[in-house]
Amino acid sequence: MIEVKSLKFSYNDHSVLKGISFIVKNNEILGILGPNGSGKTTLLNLIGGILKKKEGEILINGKKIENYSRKELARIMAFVPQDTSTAFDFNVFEIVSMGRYPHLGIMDSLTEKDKNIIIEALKKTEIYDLRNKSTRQISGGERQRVFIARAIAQDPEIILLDEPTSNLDIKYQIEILDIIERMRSQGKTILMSMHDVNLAVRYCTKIALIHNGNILAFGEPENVINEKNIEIAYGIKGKIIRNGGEKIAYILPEKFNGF
Amino acid sequence: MKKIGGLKFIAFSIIFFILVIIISIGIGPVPIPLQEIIYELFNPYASGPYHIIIWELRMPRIILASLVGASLAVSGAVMQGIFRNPLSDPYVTGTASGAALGATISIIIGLVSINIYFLPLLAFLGASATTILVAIIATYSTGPKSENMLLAGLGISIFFSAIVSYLMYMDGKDLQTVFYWLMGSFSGAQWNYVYIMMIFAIPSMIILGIMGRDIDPMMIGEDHAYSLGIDVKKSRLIFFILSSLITGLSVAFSGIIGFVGLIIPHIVRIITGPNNRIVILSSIFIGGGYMVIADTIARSFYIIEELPVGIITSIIGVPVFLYLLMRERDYWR
Repeated sequence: MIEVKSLKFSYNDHSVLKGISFIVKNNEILGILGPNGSGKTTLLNLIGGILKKKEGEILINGKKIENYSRKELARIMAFVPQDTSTAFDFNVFEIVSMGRYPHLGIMDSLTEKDKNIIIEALKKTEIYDLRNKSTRQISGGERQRVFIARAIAQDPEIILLDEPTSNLDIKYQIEILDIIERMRSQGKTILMSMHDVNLAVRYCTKIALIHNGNILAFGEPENVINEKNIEIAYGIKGKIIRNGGEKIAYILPEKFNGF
Repeated sequence: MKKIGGLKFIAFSIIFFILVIIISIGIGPVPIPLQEIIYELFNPYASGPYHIIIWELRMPRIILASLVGASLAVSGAVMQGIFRNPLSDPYVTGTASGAALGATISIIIGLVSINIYFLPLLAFLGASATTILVAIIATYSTGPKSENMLLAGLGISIFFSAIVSYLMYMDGKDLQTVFYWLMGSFSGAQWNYVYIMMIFAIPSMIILGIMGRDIDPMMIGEDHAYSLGIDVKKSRLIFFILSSLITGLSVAFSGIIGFVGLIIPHIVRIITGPNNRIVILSSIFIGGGYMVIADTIARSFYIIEELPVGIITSIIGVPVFLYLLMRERDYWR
């Protein structure tokens, strides 16, 4: 469980998060939505312990984040950063095996058990056949799966993903989100930032809509995504469309007038 | 280019290293036949006809050169990794300019004529002081970005180099001594230097080799390393201090030798791939062996004085490097 209480953060004088609070229960997929520059990545970096918070509290399983050592934190929480473009010539297996680092002592090598966990992660993300390929020889969608496999190999309770579907075509987006949904069904808790409102509505169990460093709305997708909130958060008009008997609603953006 | 397996390449580099050392012992004004070299190596306390040449003249120099070559190559590999910067070399943190300042002062104010050991001592003090200065600036005032640490090192390097130039300019008579020292040489090698290098460099290189695994995610990105449980700032500081220590000692005993620390890690990485444990362990032997080759040439071909070894390291190595780089155009990415 993750509890965020009145979290504030600023870069120099520029305040990015102005007091964010929410709770994510176990086995949820929380989608963090909001326009560019709204603080989605900052929020994930704070929860992931990559940035140090300035004010407020972050509790992971009831324990303050600053009371975890780096390694302890890495054993219960994995992070898939947005930028996975630099990977040198490491092959797929090598990248995924890095997920075992938090479980290894400085002198240790990978054990049979570690190798089995890595192979399992490769299979779950359907990249087992690519394991000996260089990360340069694979597509963007495959590369994203490699880093998700690394997070799975880390064997955490919580997985954070920063825009896992950006820069991917629609087929790859669906593939990645299906993998993420499968991880939830296997008991993981997922937090991810996203741009695509409709895909978020489809896959997330909860959505946090961020606007100007504050939470504009938090809750089930059908309660968060509506014409009013979309207009406030993104400054666009949209029409809500319901798909058959589904409870959730999709948003169809209108064109701007005057163009 | 097809990568060679890591362990295979480490084995290859160890064999290369041993062969280079044996061949180098035999080369010099008095050539020594192979069976005599083998005999002396296995009977270091016997007094054969070549005993003094091997053990008093050639061995200290060869071992010092190999330790310095290994240290510079390892240090370069580490600096490139932790700063994610292909242009990093052992001297990016300002060690060389600090050492140069110490050495120049020892020559110009005449400490060297009192006792020859003042030169390496002051050079090492200069290197250490600079490293600590850069580490402090980087820790307390430049924020978390690794680029800032590089820039702090660069700034201090330029500053100290300017002071060295000023001192040389004001004091023309010692100019050539300083200049020769700056170009690097093993002609002053002695067992005492070898012992000091061994005590510090060998354990440091082993630690760097083992810890090297943590550099892998750091090269991909700081956020990746943090999320895999690595305390990037602390870890980078340890890497930085150990590499600077062995670089500082190398500079103190042999002056500033370019190329090896910058290029050997790249050559190794192009051949073996980016795995840092393998790159560091191979660099020990390839860097060490390469420096022995260069120094053997330096002491074999002299015109008025011995050729500065730094000239040779670059003249032989750069074509090899450029060839590999052309085959593997986008290897750093």
